[in-house]
Amino acid sequence: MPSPGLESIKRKYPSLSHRIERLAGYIENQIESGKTDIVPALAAASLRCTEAEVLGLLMLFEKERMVVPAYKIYCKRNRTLLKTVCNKENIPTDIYCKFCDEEHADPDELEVELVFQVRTETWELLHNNAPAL
Amino acid sequence: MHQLCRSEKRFPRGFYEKAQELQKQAAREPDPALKKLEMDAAKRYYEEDVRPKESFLMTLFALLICWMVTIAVAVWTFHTLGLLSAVGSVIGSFAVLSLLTGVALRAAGYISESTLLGMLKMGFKTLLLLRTKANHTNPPTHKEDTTPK
Repeated sequence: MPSPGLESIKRKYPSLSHRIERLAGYIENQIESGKTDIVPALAAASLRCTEAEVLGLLMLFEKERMVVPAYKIYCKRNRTLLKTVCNKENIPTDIYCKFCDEEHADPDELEVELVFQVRTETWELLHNNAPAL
Repeated sequence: MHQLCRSEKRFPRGFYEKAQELQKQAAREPDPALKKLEMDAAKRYYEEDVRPKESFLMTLFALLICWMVTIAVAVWTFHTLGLLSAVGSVIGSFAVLSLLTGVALRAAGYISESTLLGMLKMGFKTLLLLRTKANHTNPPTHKEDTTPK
């Protein structure tokens, strides 16, 4: 049974249905391999398209509440994930890093990445309909 | 990945630079429906380029000081200078004040970099438009030929 959200997007953008399905397939594959964070740059590289296209399409999925945006904060020195926040306003000004054993208060010590977290319950229906990449 | 502050070359792109890159990608897109989506994506990054907000009271206080200085300059110029010079000085100080207000709001994180640049662009356009209109209403007068024939 097709996902209502995905069908709704395809109805609104019939000319893009192939691209939408391709991205949905990529997300499905990510879910199957246990990853629920979709990084636009990685998706674009995998699908051999532009990041703008992936982000534009992910925003359609976001409107249908199939994915939600999140900000991942990394320690720049160790390239390790320190925290994930769902709202930009919740990005802390200082954050404790157990790998450096210090508080990072200088923004230069941190990196922020915008990702989209998959709401797996909205994708379960698609499980058997994922197109092959 | 996007730095909170952009200084290192390996990850040079802040959200603003990322937005510009996405905008370029969108401009190259031939499909109009996809182009609109890609432009929306670029717009999103432009909007994301706002740091966490500073305290509203501190921002207000900083702006209040700027406004008081400008008003004091206006009062002082009208007391000491002639009318035309005073009007010129006041217009100039308000232009600086507008710039400072924009920069303060940006620094505090209440507006994005693109909004600030947009405001500056509009300001310059308005000034240029006023200048063009002034040239139209007051065409340059030609001096009479007073050389003896």
